[in-house]
Amino acid sequence: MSKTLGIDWRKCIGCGSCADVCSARILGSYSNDGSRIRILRSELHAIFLPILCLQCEEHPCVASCPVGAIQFAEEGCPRVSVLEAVCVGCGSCAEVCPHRGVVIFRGKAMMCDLCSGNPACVQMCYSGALQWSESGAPIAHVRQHAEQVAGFGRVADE
Amino acid sequence: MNRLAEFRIAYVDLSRRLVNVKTMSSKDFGLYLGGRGLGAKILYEGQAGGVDPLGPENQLIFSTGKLVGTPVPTAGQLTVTSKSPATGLYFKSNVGGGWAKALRRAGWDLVVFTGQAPEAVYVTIDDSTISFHDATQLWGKTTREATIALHRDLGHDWEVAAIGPAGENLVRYANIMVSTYHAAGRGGLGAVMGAKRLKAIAVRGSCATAVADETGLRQLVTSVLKRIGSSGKARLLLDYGTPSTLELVNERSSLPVRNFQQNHLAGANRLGGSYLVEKGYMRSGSACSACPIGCHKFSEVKTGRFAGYSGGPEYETLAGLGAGCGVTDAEAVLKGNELCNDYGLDSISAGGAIQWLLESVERGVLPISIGGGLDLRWGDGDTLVALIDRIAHREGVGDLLAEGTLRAAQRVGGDSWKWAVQANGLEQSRVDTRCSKAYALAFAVNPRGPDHLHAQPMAEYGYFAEARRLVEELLGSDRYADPVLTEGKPEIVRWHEDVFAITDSLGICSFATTTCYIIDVPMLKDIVAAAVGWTFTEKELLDAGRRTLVLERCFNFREDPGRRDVLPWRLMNEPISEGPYRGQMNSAAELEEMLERYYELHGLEPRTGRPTRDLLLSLGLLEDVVGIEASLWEEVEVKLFFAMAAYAPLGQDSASFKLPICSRTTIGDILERLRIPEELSSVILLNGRGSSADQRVTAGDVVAIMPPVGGG
Repeated sequence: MSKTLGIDWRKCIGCGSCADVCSARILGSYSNDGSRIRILRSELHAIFLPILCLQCEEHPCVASCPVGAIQFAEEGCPRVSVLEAVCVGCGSCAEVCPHRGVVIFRGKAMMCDLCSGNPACVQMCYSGALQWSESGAPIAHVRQHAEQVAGFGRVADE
Repeated sequence: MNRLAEFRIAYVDLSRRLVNVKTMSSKDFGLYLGGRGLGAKILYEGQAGGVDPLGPENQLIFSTGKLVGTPVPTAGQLTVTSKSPATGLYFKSNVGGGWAKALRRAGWDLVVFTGQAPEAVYVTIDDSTISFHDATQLWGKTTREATIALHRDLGHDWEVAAIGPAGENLVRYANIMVSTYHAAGRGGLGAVMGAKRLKAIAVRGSCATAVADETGLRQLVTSVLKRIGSSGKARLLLDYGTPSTLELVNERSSLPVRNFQQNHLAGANRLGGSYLVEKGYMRSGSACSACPIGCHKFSEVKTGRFAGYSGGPEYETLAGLGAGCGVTDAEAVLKGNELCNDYGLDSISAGGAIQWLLESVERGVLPISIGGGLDLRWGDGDTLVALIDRIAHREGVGDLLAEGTLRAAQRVGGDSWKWAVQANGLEQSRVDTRCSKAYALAFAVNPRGPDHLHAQPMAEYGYFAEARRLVEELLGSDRYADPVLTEGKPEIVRWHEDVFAITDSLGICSFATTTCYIIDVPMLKDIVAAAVGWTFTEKELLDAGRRTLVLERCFNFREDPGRRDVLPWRLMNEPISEGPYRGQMNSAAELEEMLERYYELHGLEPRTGRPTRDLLLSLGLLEDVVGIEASLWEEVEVKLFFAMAAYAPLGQDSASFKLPICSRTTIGDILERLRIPEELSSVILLNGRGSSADQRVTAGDVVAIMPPVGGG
């Protein structure tokens, strides 16, 4: 059974360190860009929602890609991956992702690659919002996350 | 040349809408670290003594530390520095949230505001573009409304610092709210901002924060996180926030109740962290940047006349608005917290002012009618909420209370000054220092006034293992971890002050270095090396903190040569009346004993606590800070003849005594300090020659004062 990165968004306190260490992997420095995990923030209601690719079973990103740059494997860590050389940065995958887990960075689609088995973001998360577990993300949990993400725009704009 | 250790500073002149960009060299990093330290230096050098806190010359400095923008745990702190309209002295106020990180990501380390805008303005900092905008539409809005409006107009990725009606109305303890619910509190820096007609500052940045050794830093960060994981205190803060302190303090009978008249309040547990969480009033809030401790809470009252929601509350708010006023209705206090946040009002001083009012009415010094129909008695939640509203808008009795307890008592007269629980013009934080001696010393020596955010020597209680370990390290035995002992407290306070100053200057939170005792000085040394590429010895790092502490003291002595480290009158003269600490007091003798040792440890002048020339020399301040000599005291000799002898200060020989002066002191100042009334038209001789009140004096002068003499 492969490990998965689960999110308990109710525990997210919005510290932002997950995004900082993720960006450091690519940039060597800490930035708002270049991170595969981001946080939707409503300071007003103190609700924070980490968003990233959840390696979901539906993976609409694969079919949405006009050039076939996205692959989904049955096993492995990660299961979703982008062939950078093929990707043209059109953003179709980002549009269809129910978790808003795709980032377009320097003209290419980018998704969480689980740091090949030792996610840096999980190491930073003391509150327990990000969990690296053997149990696998249950479908219901993943759907709930998608619902939260879809509804977040309303909350954030108030 | 270490670019990471240089500072990029924006000087914003609000009078002329000009921006000047300056760089400070890495030498200043080595000396002051940044954040609070650099703020203190710029405040001292950038203005002369004696400026009007609400005038254009008073600088309002926003500074952050070099660790902000990195994932070093708790690296999200901003320091706001200015001269306070409440105390007339140096004032720094720290705040978390996300503004400091945004400033660093915009490529700035500090922003200094000077001048005064002719019309209401808000400033945007968009990477290197700083612009001025008309704020007429925002003026009058609460901090929350203004923040929402700016998020709507500019975008949600902007961080906002704003004042509310309290700052606009120049309430002497108005604060600046950051990231909607985080407060840069105490001292009225919101009024300084309001006097400048600066409604808000919005910042957004797209730069990356670079560090010297990313791999090394990540390892250090991981080890800090492990320590946080095993810290009971950190867990308590994550689950219940600072409100978790309240049950403990009440149980210990050291909770200030009804203006420090009592020490325990039945029902106060309904204001504590576990009650608020259990009943569903309070949950996890918004952590400051990079902070895993996440102490900040979010509270909501769903129904009823106190319905609403906001960030917080903190212990001080619950103790100040709640227990202090005798109010145990959590919903009323939560409403009070919400209003203080929305109006941009310091809840500690607001609580202190309200308590002063209630006691004044209780004692018959003020009529109950002064409340304009309000029921001015202890324990009334509706009165509490109504008074906060009036203070923020300076309505009715709110106008008197908005001046702070020192000035309000001066206006009202009688004995009301005795229960104005303040020193320097700052209301005391909700700690009964009579039974917490390290806190007593820390409050007395705090340059901003009697408050906890200078040293926070929680180790003196010995509640946690880390605390007892620290006391043992400092003094050889953990028996000194006893709050009613005065022995060993100067050493305990000094360690905490040093570490607090370094903490504030690097931009991390005092909860990590003091309170939870997770990051110690050796770890800070390593973290700074990895983040900034700068190698300090432990002594150099401690000296950097000390420099800040001494500089703060210098600013204050430049303002007021005769000032002393004291506590509010009530705590120094009225003992605790009930409970296990009955009889305890911060008597002058007891305080002086601790101060004597404290001054000795610091190399300050005995009795007065003034910085000495030698001290400034040894810390390199004498050569580095422009105009620092103005804070060194020199003396004149005063001779009082005949009936004038009655005006000699207590214990001084009227025939000849020394009086400290600064470069601005005039003979008129001396007459005022000695309380010699103008009407007496004394004859004044300066060095044997006739002189007048407007004449300035210099070191070594001899001033002779006598009543008008006639010939015969």
